[in-house]
Parts: sequence; C-alpha cells; structure tokens
Amino acid sequence: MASHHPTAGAEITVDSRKLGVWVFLASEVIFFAALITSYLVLHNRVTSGPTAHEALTLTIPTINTMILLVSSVAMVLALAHLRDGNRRASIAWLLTTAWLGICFLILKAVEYNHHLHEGLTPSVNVFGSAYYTVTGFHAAHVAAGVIWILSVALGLRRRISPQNDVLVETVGLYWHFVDLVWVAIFMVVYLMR
Amino acid sequence: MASQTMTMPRVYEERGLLAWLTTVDHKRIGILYILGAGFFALIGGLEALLIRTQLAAPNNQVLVGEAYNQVLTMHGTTMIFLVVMPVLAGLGNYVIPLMIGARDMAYPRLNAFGVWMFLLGGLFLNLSFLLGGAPDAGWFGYAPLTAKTFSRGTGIDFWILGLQLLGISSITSSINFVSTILLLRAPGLSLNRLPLFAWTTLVTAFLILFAMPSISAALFLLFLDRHLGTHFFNPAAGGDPLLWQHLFWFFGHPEVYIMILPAMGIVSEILPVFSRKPLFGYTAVAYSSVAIGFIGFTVWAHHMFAVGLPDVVNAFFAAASMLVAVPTAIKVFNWIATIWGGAVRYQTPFLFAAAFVALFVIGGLSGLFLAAVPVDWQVTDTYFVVAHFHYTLFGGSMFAIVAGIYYWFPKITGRFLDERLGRWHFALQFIGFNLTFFPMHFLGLAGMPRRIYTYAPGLGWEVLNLLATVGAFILALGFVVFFVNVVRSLAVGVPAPADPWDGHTLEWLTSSPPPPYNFAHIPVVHSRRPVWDLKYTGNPHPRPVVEITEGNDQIKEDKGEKAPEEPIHLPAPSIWPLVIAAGLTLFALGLVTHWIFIPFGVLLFALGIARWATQPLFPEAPGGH
Amino acid sequence: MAQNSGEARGWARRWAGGFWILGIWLTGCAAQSPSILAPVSPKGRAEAELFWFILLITAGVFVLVETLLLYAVFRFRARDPRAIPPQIHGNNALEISWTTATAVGLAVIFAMTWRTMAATSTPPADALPVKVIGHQWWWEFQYPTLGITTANELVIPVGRPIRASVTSADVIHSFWVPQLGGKMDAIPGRENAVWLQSDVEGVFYGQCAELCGISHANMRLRVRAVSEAEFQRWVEAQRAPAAQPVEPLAQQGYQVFMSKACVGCHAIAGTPAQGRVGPDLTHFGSRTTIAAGLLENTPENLARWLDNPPAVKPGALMPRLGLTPEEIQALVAYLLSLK
Ligand code: HEA
Ligand code: HEA
Ligand code: HEC
Ligand code: CUA
Ligand SMILES: [Cu+2]
Repeated sequence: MASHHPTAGAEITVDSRKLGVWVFLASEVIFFAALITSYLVLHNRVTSGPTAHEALTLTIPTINTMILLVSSVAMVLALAHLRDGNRRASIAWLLTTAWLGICFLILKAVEYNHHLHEGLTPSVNVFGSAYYTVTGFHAAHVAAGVIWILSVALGLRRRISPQNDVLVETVGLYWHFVDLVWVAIFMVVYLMR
Repeated sequence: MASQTMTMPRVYEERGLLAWLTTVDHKRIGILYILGAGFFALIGGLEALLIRTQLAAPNNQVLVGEAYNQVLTMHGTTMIFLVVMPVLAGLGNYVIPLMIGARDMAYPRLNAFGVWMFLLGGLFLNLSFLLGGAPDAGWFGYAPLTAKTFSRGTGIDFWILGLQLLGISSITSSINFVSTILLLRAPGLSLNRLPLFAWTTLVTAFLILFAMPSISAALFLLFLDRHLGTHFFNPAAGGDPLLWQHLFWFFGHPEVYIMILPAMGIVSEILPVFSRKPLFGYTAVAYSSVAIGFIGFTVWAHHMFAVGLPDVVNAFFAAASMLVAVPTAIKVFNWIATIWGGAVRYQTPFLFAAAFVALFVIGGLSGLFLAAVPVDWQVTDTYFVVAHFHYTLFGGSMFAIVAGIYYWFPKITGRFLDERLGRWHFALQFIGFNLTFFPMHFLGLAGMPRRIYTYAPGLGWEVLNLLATVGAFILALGFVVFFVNVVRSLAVGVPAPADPWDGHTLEWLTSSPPPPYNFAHIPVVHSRRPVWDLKYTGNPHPRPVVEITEGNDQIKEDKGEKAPEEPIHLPAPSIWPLVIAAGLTLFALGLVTHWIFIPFGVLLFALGIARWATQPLFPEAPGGH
Repeated sequence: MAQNSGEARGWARRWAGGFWILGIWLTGCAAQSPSILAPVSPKGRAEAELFWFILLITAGVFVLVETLLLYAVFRFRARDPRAIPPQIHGNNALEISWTTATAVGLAVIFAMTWRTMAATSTPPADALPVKVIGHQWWWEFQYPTLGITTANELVIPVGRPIRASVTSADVIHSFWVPQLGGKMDAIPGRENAVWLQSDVEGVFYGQCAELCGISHANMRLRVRAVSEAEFQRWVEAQRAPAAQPVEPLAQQGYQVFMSKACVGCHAIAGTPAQGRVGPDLTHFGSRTTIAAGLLENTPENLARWLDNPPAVKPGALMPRLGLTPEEIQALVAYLLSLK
C-alpha cells in the first residue's frame, strides 16, 4: 500500500490515484483548449458549403446538455451513496450515469446523421472539419467514460468499500470534466454559431 | 538493529529477460530508458555525421535532396524525442525516488508502460526508414509541406503517429513524476529541502503536461487532413498553415525548457558536491525554474517572427523571450557563486558540469539575438539558429546529461567510470563540440540557410563548413572513448562505495547499486543536505562522523525518530504495461501500413487494460488492489 | 529622437569595431559572402546595427561570466581533498544586484529592438510594388504597376524602396536576400509585405530560407540593382512581347516549343504558350541563370536542363520530356533568342 498513502513527511496529503487523475485532467484541458481554439480560428472561414449558422440547430445539443448535467448529478449521488455504505444504490446511480452517457452518444449520432444528410461532412469545408473534430473528440471521451464507469460499476461489488471509494471518485472526476468540456463546446460551437 | 521488526520484502525474480520485460522497479525502468536513449543517440549521432559529411564541401553527393531531408528530420526528431527527453526521464526515474527517500515511483506499472511506449515508439519512428521512407519535413513538420498534396508517402504518417506514441509516454511519466515528488517524499523532506534535480523535474513534468497536448492535438488535425480530407491547414479551403505553427510552437518552445531544466537540475546537484559547498542561493535557483517554466509558455511566437505577425505581437514575444534570461541568469550566477570559495575537485562529472555553464551561456546569449526581432529577420532559418540550439541543447542538455551519467554511474552499477578515459572524453567532446558549432554562428551571419543539402562554392562558406565537419568527427571520437569507458568500467571498473563522491543527497545513503527496496529504513530528513550533515555537522574535523558504507543505510542520529516502520511491499512484476504499449504500437502500424495490424493492436490493448485493471499491485498485501 | 537613436547606433558601431578578431574575419568573408553584416539597404543596415549593439552587450556579459567561471574553477581548486571550505548558503544583496543588472541589460536590448522594428518593419509609402510568389522550387516576380512577370531574377532600381508582397503557390517558402534586409515567409493564402532596397548597383545573392521540400537547397535567386535609366530600359524591354525567332534553328525551336508539352506549363507573351505552372519565359534570354539560380544561363547548361531537369535539380517539377538532341538544340536557340 506504500505507494497509495503519503509518507508522514509530505505536506500534501491526497490519495495518489486521485492526484494522478487531477494532473491528467489538467493536461486534457490543454488538449481541448487547442481543439476549441482551432475551431474558433477556422469556423467562419467557410469558402463553400454550409456554415455553422446554417447547419447547426439547438434542439439536440440542448437536450444533450441537460443529459450530461443530470448525469453529473447521478455521479455525485453514486459517490455519496457509496460513502454512506449503500453499495447497491451506488451501483444503480453509476449505471444511470453510464446510461445517460449512452443516450448522449445516441443523440449525438442522430445529430451527425442529420448533418450528413444536409451535406455537412468533415471534408466539405473548414467548419465541417473543425465541428466534427471538436465534437468527435469529446464524444470519444464520453464513450471512454461510459466504458470506465461500467467497469467500475461491475467491479464494485468485489472491490469497493466506503473506505475505499477512490475508484468511484476518480471516474467521477473524469466524468465531471467531460461534462464541463461539453458545456464549453455547447457555448462556443452552438450558442455562438 | 531494527530489522527484527521489519518484514523483509519479497523480491521478485531478478534475472533473465522476463524479469526485465515485466519489471516495475523504477531503477530498472530508469536503466531501460537510459540504454534506449543511448541506442537512439548512436543513430541520431550517425545521422549527424552523415549530414556533416554531405556538407563538408560544396556540391557534395553523399546525401542528396530527399535523402538529406529524411536524415535531417530524423536527426532532429531523434535527438529531441528519443535521446534528450528519455535520458532525462531515465535519470529522473533512477535517481529521484532515491533522492527523496521513496521505495518506488507512485505508479510503478504506469512507469513501466511509459518506458515501453518510448522504446516501441522510437522503433516505430525508425521503422519508417525501412518501410517506404522516413519523414522529411523537418522536426517541426510545417504544414502544408506535410499535407498529403506535398507529402504522398507514409513518412509523415510515421512521424505523426510516432510522436503521438512518444507523447503518451511523456504524459504518463510526467503524471508519475508529479505524484511521486509531491507525495512520496521522506519525512522532513519539505519542498524547500527538495534536491534541485527533483525540483526541476517537477517543473518539467508540469511543462510536459501542459505543452504536449497542444502538439498532440495538432498532430491529430494533421492526420485528419491527410486521411479524412479535412481542411485545417489547407489555405485553399480557408484552413490556416499558421494554425499549425501556433499549435506546434506552443508545445515546441516549452519543449526546449523541458530539455534544459532537468539538465540544469543535474548541474545544480553536481557543482555543490564537487565544490564541497551548499548550492548558493538555493531558493532563488529553485524558484527560477518555476519562473522559466511559466514565462516559457508565453514566448512561442518567437519562432514565427518572419511569418508576418503585427509588430506589437512580435514585440510582446520578443520581450517575453528576453525576460526568460532573468531567471536563467540567476541560475548562472548562482552556479558560479557555488564554485566560488569552494574546494573544487576536478573529477569528470565536475568537468562536464562546469563546461555546461560555460557553453550554455553562449547558447543563451545567442538566443537574445534571435529574440531581437529585426536581427531574427536576418538570422532566422540560418546556421546562426543551428549554432544557438546546439549550444543550448548539446552544450547545455547533453553536457549535463553526460555529467550526470559520470556522476550516477557508480550508484547505478557499483563501479566508477575510468577517470583517465573520462578526461580524454571530456577534452575530445569539448574541443569537437566548439569546433563543430562555433563556426556555425559565422555561417549564419554569412547568409547560409539551414536545412540545405548543398551549396554553391564561392559564397565564403567552404572553410567554415569543413571546420564544422572536422569538429563533428572529433566529437564522435569523444563518444567512442565514452563508449569504451562504459564497457570497460562495467567489466573491470573500480568498485564504488555507497557514497563515492562525498555526496549531499539521500541517494548516497544506500548501497551502490541499491537494493530493490532502496532503503531498509526510510530516513528522516532535517536539511537540504541530509547526507552531508550526517557526515560533517558538529564536526570541525575534515573527517566524516559516519562512514557511509554498504548496508549501513540508516541515519544513526535518527535512531529515535525513524519513519514509522511499515512492512515493505514491492509491487508485483507485470507484463501488461508492455502488452498495452505493444497494442498501441501495432495499432499505429496498422494505420500507416496495412489494416491487418489494427485488430491485433486493439486486441492486445484491450487485453492489457483488462488484465492490468484486475491484477493487484501488491498481491501479498491484505486486500491488495 | 531619431537623431539620438542614430547617434547611439553609431556609437555602438564604433565600439563594436573593437571586436577586431571577429571584425577581420567578417570583413574577409563579407567580401565574398551574402553577409548580413555587409548590408546595402537601410533596413539591412538597421538590422546589422542592432546586431552589433547586442553583440556589444552580450560580448561584455560573455567575457564577464566566463572569466568569473574560469577564475572560480582554477582559483578554488582543492589542494587538500579533505578540506572543507566555509559553508556559504547565499547572499541576498549579491543576488538582488545581479538580478537587477540583468533586467536592466535586457531592458536596454529590448528598447533598441523596438526602435529598430518601428523604423524598418513597414515599407515606405512611395515604394515600388513587387509581388513575390514562391513555387517549389523557383521564384515568380510580378510588377503589378508595370505589367511585368519574370522569374528568379529580380531587377530593381538603385536607391528606390521596393515593397515586396510575398506569398506562395504551394508550401511555405521564405524570401531572403541577406544584403538587402531580413527575410519574409511566403505563406500560401497570405500576403506579407517586406521592404527591400539597394543603395548600390550590383547583383545580390538570395535563397529560399524555409524548408520547402526536395530542392529547397536549390531555390536560389538574384537581385540585380541597376541605375534608374537602365531600369527604365529593362522595363521597356520586358513589356514588349517576345521576340520573333529569326534564325532558322530558333524558328525550328519555336515549332518544337509550341508543339510539345512546354506550352502547358510556360507562358511566352505574344505566342499561344500561356501555361502558368513554370516560369514565364517571355524574356528568358535576358536572365543570367537557369532553374532558380542554379546554373549559369549558357547554351550547354540549358541543354542539360532541357534534357533531364530532375537530374540537374532533384525533384524538379518540370519532367523529363524525352526530347531528341536536335529538338534540344533548336529549343536552346529559340529560348536564348528571347532577350
Ligand atoms: C535547451 C534548449 C534551448 C534553450 C534553453 C533556449 C533558450 C533561449 N532561446 Fe532558443 N531555441 C532552441 C533551444 C533552446 N533555446 C531550439 C532547439 C531552437 C530552434 C528550433 C528550430 O527552429 O528548430 C531555438 C530557437 C530560438 C528562437 C527562434 C529562432 C528562429 O528560428 O528564428 C529564438 C528567438 O527568440 C530563441 C530564443 C531563446 C532565448 C531568448 C532563450 C533564453 O532562454 C536564453 C536565456 C539565457 C541567457 C541569456 C544566458 C544567461 C544569462 C546571463 C549570463 C545574464 C546576463 C545577460 C544579459 C544581461 C544580456 N531560440
Ligand atoms: C540534443 C539535440 C541534438 C544533438 C545532441 C545534436 C548533435 C549534432 N548535430 Fe544536430 N540538430 C538537432 C539537435 C541535436 N543535434 C536539431 C533539433 C536539429 C534541427 C533539425 C531540423 O532542422 O529539423 C539539428 C540539426 C543539425 C544540423 C543542421 C542541418 C541542416 O539544417 O541542414 C546539423 C549540421 O551540421 C547538425 C549537426 C549535429 C552534429 C554534428 C551533432 C553531433 O554533435 C553528434 C555527435 C553525437 C554522437 C556521435 C552521439 C551522441 C551521444 C551518445 C552516443 C552518447 C549518449 C549516451 C546516452 C544518452 C546514454 N544538427
Ligand atoms: C509539367 C510542367 C512543365 C513542362 C511540361 C515544361 N516545363 Fe519547363 N519548367 C517547369 C517548371 C516547374 C520549371 C521551374 C523548375 C525549377 O526551377 O525548379 C521549369 C523551368 C524551365 C526553364 C528554366 C526557367 C528559368 O527561368 O529558370 C526553362 C528554360 C524551361 N522550363 C523550358 C521548358 C521547355 C522548353 C519545355 C518543353 C520542352 C518545358 N519547359 C516543359 C515546368 C514545366
Ligand atoms: Cu522554398 Cu525552401
Ligand atoms: Cu523558443
């Protein structure tokens, strides 16, 4: 256990896995910042084909925003229940979170399908390139999150106790981060279109 | 002895190939990093010699056109990503846990994953030579030269994916360094007692974490441009080649500090030991690293002074670039003050460390010319820049790395490197280096652009180029001597005690080489120089109170207040980090060559992740996970 | 103000002259090199002056730092290997002073940098506009106000400022004639302005300075600075349509040119050849070099080029056209007649 618990001398006391995830997410912030900046620089340099204003509608993204916000609440509840010693409730909330993540992905796919029918493809113009790239990388992160949450939920029975909630806490950190990125994308890509 | 109460750790299989493939021991991982970097240094060095041979005389035909561009690109990429970064990560891996009194890195398996990703990523990059041609657009791969239209082969794809693999390695090792240095320090080892090498590695880890994602994103965009027909860097469709430059240099500039800060840390360890004094102005030296790191993120466009940015923008980046010289100067002056008034011992590590200061200053000062926008308009993309960055990277990073290798070799191997050969190596490297790179300043001023494979006679460039080539071969001879020295010393070198240099920091407290668990007892630290204090405090005589010898790795005065005894658990070996790294590499290979590799890659990756997640880190510990 | 800065720079230059070793070497090389320290334009001179000024400061710092370092290393060598020197941890006053001194030195360098930038970055308003277009691996020059298009050799009138708008047709190149002032990147989709000028007559060597592919090394150029009168003559000649071939061999060459792929890539004004892929050849015979400054423009070299361009210039985008020696001789005669 030596490596998970700080030795007595260090001023900083935090579980090393939690710190690791924090540090990793800090780095992810830059990754998405780079993508979103690229989007901002390019999206209205369209020379032909649909522009952001023409191609994007708000219905699905707004619903998706709600879904992710609710999923974050579900994640908070999963952790809270685990800390209260209620493992089953915790698992149920984790599964809810994952399910909401899947709903997000399904709606995203519906939206993409809609775009493709409208003629917005990644190669049609710079807006298309930037749009699919930003939202696609985000969706990939959601998908990874869903897999991670499911594997934690399935392993929960055996491996997690109220004293050892770090597996849920770390996946939760990641999930909240992915939600926050979505909020940023929602504002930059959809609201400012 | 306290060992009655101590459970002796279970030590895993020690020998054989499998032991190395499954190792999670930070020391072995460090050695793998260093050996891997040494191997790639050989390749990168040979590439450099090819370059110099071609340029020795005008209109040479050794390496023409595309071949030259490939070798040039691979030389730069190799030296940066496969030599300097990994060897610094390797030294950090080996030394830092010892320096801070830890038993391992915070995430041993992630650490193993990092080294495998580096080795496989490096092989992957070099595989391009055999599979249709290496990348040829320079180490910063400017779009649209790297776009599909202008680069049809797979060289650029190898470059893109190779750098992504290496980026994963750097990110994971940085997360590990941050957690290790923040969380695993021995009792009493507060941040303001942290050895400088650990300080600079910590700052560097943050630089990597915040810089790497930018190039990673840029590489993704480029890959999409090449294979999905997106238009990020395609000006005809509204894309912007300058976007690539901004994303690249937002990484690329911090990258150069990533390569110099740990090197500065090494020098800040060595100079005090060989001067037998504490580091002058410890706090200033430590915090100046942080300052360099911060300012380093605000200067990237100084690589873009000639792209036509507005004057105010150029001026801002010029000012920020010059500002970096302040914290750097603080370090330089403090190093000199450290030597000043000391009792200097001219052993090889010291020679290289002192030469580092002398040469790095030249590189830093030439950086100021480049930061002065109008001068840069003239000398950008000339040999003046080549001179600048070899003085910083070779005169700086490489000299410090070599110093570090001489310094820690006895700790790692239990034997000294030979002093006499060391001096020969030093003389050859110092003379060869200056002969190679000093004339390049004049070449740049005389109008010679960089990255040209040939030049016409009669422009006044012949003599200087010839000098540089001669220098490069002297330099290479120096490395031959080094190589001989390493091989010979491994076999018949003088055995080294635990504390061969009369050191200051904790790594000298344990045996050479250290046991798998590093310290039988985690020491308690009371100052910045725990081992020095142990030897000399309250003792006016020039004799240590305690001889540090093998097996005597506890601080005697501290008997009453050792860290609370915990049973030592060593993490179990694991093959899964290697499997995951192999999976990712196969996946990348599939993307560039034949899709058939992709399913195998995905399979290995998934298998590795699943097994890693379910394999306990400490199998024998109750409730281990 | 302007006078002040002139004085300061002159002063810097006088002192910089003290670096005599460097000076001797550089004057030696400046005689033959396209050296940035042998500028012939106001912009180039300002840049060189800034260089000398920074060299003055940095050379001082260099001497200081290296002397202190060497002194410390040699003076404090341990005679007794066991000796323990006084353990000094630092000195605030000392540290503050060297930090301040460095900051002041850098502020001065920055101030001079800013001045030079402000003085040189924008071309004067009355400058002659020239459009510079980088191609893999040659240069196209257009004089929009004069209606001239040429390649690889830029002819300019002495003493008159030129405003070059630099761009590219493919990848990024960088336009650079060291003695006339700093470089400017040629970026596709962008136009960057840079100020050129030559105060003396002469031919100045230049070269592409951004890696642009296989023959980056062979993407050279010349700037010919000529007197105002000669420039006017040159302009007149360039504006005329291509000369009609008179010699029989040249006439034969004309036929070959017009019947082969040449027309698809090259333009010759006043003929059916209107291709824009390769250099405009209307007045090819008046140029002194071929293939972006790679070869002297002689009949032998031209024949070599036409026989197999990629063999002369690796990667050249003009393919080998399988011409017979007779066709080549004819083409050479025709092309060289295009004065
Ligand atoms: C270890 C690597 C390293 C380091 C530390 C530096 C340090 C610096 N670099 Fe360098 N640089 C590179 C590696 C490095 N560089 C590389 C690889 C490239 C080229 C990339 C490519 O194009 O391929 C490059 C290119 C580069 C450019 C772009 C050039 C061009 O392409 O046109 C510029 C421009 O501003 C620059 C500036 C600086 C400055 C101002 C510093 C400063 O940090 C230096 C500060 C240090 C000192 C100044 C010396 C010590 C100070 C004193 C002793 C104090 C007293 C001084 C005075 C009062 C004057 N560098
Ligand atoms: C740390 C970085 C590093 C190092 C060490 C070197 C080392 C050398 N470099 Fe280079 N170089 C770069 C980084 C480096 N270079 C970069 C980034 C570029 C730009 C590329 C681009 O434009 O895209 C470049 C470009 C470059 C050019 C410009 C080419 C051009 O623009 O056309 C030249 C020309 O002479 C050159 C020469 C050399 C030479 C002769 C050496 C010699 O010193 C080599 C001698 C070294 C050896 C023979 C072996 C090395 C070491 C060991 C074997 C032991 C190490 C042991 C361990 C690590 C355990 N290099
Ligand atoms: C596919 C296009 C193409 C065709 C066909 C072609 N050229 Fe070229 N030509 C070029 C390009 C591109 C260059 C510039 C090459 C360089 O300098 O790198 C060039 C350069 C030249 C030059 C040197 C111009 C200068 O100022 O340096 C001459 C002369 C020339 N071509 C003549 C011919 C003749 C004659 C033919 C036909 C027999 C021909 N070309 C066919 C593309 C073409
Ligand atoms: Cu054009 Cu280099
Ligand atoms: Cu930089």
